[in-house]
Amino acid sequence: MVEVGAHATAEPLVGASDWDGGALPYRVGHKKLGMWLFIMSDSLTFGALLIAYSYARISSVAWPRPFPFFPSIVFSSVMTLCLLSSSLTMVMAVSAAKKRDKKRARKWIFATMFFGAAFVILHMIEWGHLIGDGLMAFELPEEWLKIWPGASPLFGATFFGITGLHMFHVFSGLCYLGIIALFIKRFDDEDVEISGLYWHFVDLVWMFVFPLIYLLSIKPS
Amino acid sequence: MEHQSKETKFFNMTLLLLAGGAVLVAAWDVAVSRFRGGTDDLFFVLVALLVALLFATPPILFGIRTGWFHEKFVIDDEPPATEAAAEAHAEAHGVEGESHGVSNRLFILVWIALLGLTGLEVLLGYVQLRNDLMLTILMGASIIKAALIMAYFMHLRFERMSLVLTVVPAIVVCLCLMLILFPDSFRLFHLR
Repeated sequence: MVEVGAHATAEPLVGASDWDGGALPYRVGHKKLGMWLFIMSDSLTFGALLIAYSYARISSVAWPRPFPFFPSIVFSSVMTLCLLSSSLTMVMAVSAAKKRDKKRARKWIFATMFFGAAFVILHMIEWGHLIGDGLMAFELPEEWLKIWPGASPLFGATFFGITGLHMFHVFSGLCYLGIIALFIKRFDDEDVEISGLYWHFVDLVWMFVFPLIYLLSIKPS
Repeated sequence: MEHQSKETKFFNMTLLLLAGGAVLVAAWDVAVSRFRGGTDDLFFVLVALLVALLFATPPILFGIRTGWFHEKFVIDDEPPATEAAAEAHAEAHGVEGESHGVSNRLFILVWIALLGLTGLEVLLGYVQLRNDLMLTILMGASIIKAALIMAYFMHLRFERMSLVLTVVPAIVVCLCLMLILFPDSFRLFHLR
């Protein structure tokens, strides 16, 4: 079989092909492979939640579309911008770490954490608006029921459940990145790259949560 | 095809047979039901075709890698269209150094593309569209965004093909299996 990755670093292989028992069939370390497997399972968790949300929405008599341009859509768009920018700074951190420049890598990770923290804070404020309107996990505000009669109370459950789990992921990502940045001398460049994988995954999930939760529920003018 | 060992040949032929079987199942469903089942049939056919595509992917990739397609149908190696593609191309085929050789400009271009797609999505939210059309466009844009993030930010484009084939098809198949239950949600409304 022809060698696939001419660009991959040359590792000593036992057999000629992957199926003959190559020493590193994926050409990545075990930690990185583990993170990829975790990302697979976690994406199934979010996939199940989003599919359950869509299922509940379609099979309901009415579903509220409560998000006005300001504050909800503006806030969530800025949050998306924050997450995308944090992904970019994380890429810079990984590339600095690859160049063995740990000081710059640490600075870029702090920039990533700044954007991530901005995301969490903005999201908290946005939650505060909705809770202030009277939205609860299984209860809709009175005014919403007047606009959308018979609207499913599951709205709050799906909204808080999905965005809450995502926010929890962002928060744990912040802790993870903080540990990597603080003790960066003990970690090598692959560890930084693995934390980057997790961070990009959190970004990727938001790319599905944002349109499905927010953009499909924009308040009709 | 002197590189092709017996196992590889068997593996590829089995996958191609399975892909053909999945296409036959899809065709059979179209012929028998003629979409009388509505969304059920649509989902069934889509899932069958997707499974066929997934089964056919490894043999096709193998064919591309070993140059089988070049022998059968002469395909010119087109020069990459954009500069970003050129850089990516050079990256993928060039030597990979300590820095992985990808310039930061490429990542900034990807970031701009992601921002553009997000802006487009938000804009679409304010254009009055049918719900299903809107959902399709939004999901299409999101899948493109996810692919960009996975390919460039998560570096999957520069990893070995075996890792990509382990990670991506498994997620796609599992998510499709979850979606199989989805047509029930349309029916549930009428059952009450």
